Amino acid sequence: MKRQVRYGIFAIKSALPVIFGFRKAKREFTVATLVDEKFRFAVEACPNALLMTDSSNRIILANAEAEQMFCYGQGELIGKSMEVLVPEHLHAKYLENRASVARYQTTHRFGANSNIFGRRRDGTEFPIEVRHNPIQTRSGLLVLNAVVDISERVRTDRLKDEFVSTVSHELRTPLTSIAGSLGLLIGGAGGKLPDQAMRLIGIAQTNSQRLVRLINDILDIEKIESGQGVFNFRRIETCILVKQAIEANRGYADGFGVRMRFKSALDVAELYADSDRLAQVVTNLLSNAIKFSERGGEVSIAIEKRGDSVRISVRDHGPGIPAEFRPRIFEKFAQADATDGRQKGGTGLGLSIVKQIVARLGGQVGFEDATGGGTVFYVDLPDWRLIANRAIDVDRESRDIRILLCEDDPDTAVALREGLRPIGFSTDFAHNPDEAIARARQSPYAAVVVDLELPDGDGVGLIRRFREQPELYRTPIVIMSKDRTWEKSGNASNLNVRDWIEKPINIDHLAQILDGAVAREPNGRPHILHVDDDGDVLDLVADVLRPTASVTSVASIEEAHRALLMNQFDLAVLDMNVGSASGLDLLPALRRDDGAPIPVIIFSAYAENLDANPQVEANLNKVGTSFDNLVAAVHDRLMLRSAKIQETIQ
Amino acid sequence: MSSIRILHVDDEPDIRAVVDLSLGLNPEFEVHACASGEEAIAAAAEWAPILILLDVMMPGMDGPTTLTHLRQNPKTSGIPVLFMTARAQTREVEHFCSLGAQGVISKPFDPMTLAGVVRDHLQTLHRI
Repeated sequence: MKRQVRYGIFAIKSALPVIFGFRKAKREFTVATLVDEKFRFAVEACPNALLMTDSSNRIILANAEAEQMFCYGQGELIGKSMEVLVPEHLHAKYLENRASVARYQTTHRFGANSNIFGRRRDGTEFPIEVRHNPIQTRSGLLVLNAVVDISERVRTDRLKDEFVSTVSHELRTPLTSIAGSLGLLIGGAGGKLPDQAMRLIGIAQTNSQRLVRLINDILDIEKIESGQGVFNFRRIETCILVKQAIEANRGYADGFGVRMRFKSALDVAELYADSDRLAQVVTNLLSNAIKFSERGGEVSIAIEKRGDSVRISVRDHGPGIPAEFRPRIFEKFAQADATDGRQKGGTGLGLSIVKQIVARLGGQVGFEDATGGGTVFYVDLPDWRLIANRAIDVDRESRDIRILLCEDDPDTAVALREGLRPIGFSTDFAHNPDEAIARARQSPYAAVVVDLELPDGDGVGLIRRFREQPELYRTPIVIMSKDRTWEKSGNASNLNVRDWIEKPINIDHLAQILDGAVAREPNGRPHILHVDDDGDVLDLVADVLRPTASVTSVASIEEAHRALLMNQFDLAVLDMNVGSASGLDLLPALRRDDGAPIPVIIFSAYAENLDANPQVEANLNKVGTSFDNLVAAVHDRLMLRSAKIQETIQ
Repeated sequence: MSSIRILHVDDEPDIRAVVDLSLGLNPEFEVHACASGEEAIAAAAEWAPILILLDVMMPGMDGPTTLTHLRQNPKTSGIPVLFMTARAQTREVEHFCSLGAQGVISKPFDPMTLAGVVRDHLQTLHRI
């Protein structure tokens, strides 16, 4: 069927020369006609839905695929608002994305993880992937939206997950009975059996165990490949982990009559990895080495430092790896033909799993011939110190706006730092909650970005801890998360979370959020206004309060008014007599932008009964009050606020 | 000497038979088997076992739901429960324990040592 692209001809005409790089007005008519024709074919041939919108978000172009995907007739979409294709619950998000495209004029992509849906004409929804490409033209900003229907992919993924989980359960259930029965027979629970029968049952049992391992391996590899397996990165003492793995495999080695020997030249070798997964790697390497050793042979395990890595190596004295097998050794179900005809009993997945895990751990696996025969398999993983330095280190290229990123994955953290740098942010890292708190207390940040899936405690817990610190409770916090489920777990508005961004992170979107956050809170700490006509008192109070808050010190009511116009304060410390005026005259002006009264602490030599005024939180007499008391009162006041936030959470 | 009553819950008859035989290796144990969560909830209240071994994936009421019901009934809320499930990873074990289980025994289990494993669990539980 021949179909033509429908579009509003005027908008497109002005857009085309720009799209295709033609700018000379003289040639515009002929070139536009030519390009018009080519463009039409190109758009029509595209297997994805293409929709172009003008600056008022009306559709000015839609190809046949778009009409089909959203169930509209030929030409029907032209002139409609793009929002008709977006489910209502996603309108806000869509408009936000579009605004972001307009603002930054870069391509925005929302993939399968974004949970974005399109709406067909009949109101039904379907999962999509979208790319918004901005095109600046003389008649305004056009956006070319490329849409892919991913229903089938989503369905296949779900089926695969269901299948894997069914296989896991349905295969293991009969195996449990089989392995159990055989085990009982061998153990003599069914009475004494003739030797020949025992031998046969032994074969059956060995193979049922092999089947169990095979199923486990397949499920493991499936999980890792699909990216479902969550890796919990922690600081790991390598020697301890390796010794535990050796102990766990001692029975297996005894069965083959193989000794294991551990040697480490290092007292301390720390890694940054997931301990369960790394233990699996070491176990797989050990069991391979044991299997391919001669009876009475030895497998030696070593740990050494190599540059920025820690190397764990496992050496056997076996027959070595045949040359033709080497290139395939890490492939799935790869097993060298046993030259000696001995059944090795593996699943053929062990090394493939090792390779996948090590890749996810950010390391490398390899092997080489050992001097004196046999093979050495080694795993190189990044040294904890390297990761820690890289991850905790303060951004060396310090810029005006400093943010703290609490992200446990160093690669993501570095990528975000690099992405934010050109926009004017310098990014410090903390990879666990304790470090985040320590770092933020050391120096104020304009904003904090928290990965909700942090190890050593959840991200929500970290945010609560932030809010408990008087000097941190106002720091804008942006959450990074895979989905929105965190909103249900704690009341987000009470955590005072500035905004939320989904992973994988779109740098432009994050920059946009941070721009907003930083503009409102130039210095994420509490801000105190101190009004006193005594310069010495101003200096002293500023000194004692500075560890807790930013202090703006003013010596007159006029200056105070100016400061109030330019800043948002959390607390005011007032002298009663400021020159010839009363500090109390300032009370009506002590309001935040949102109209909420700014709480006041009176710090004055003139005692006056102010209990009736609800805005006055504390009334301290300079004469009888030490600066410590003042600091305590300020802390109490600021803590009280965070305590209120706390209450509403619980 | 009174026997140690253990309630075993699994929808698979063959697994019930193997577990019965395996636990039978310890003559102190008296095992009662149930084929569903519903049966288990009734039996636990009536028979008052000292320990419940509970399968996770069962048609109808699954293990975690059964556990929730057991914890809600004052008669059964204090009975320790060990889940029996395929290849429990650390995180899954933590998850089950957060539901109120006292531990996990992985499947397939070694039938010759199952009774000993259960005995060890009981000793730990009673020391606590």
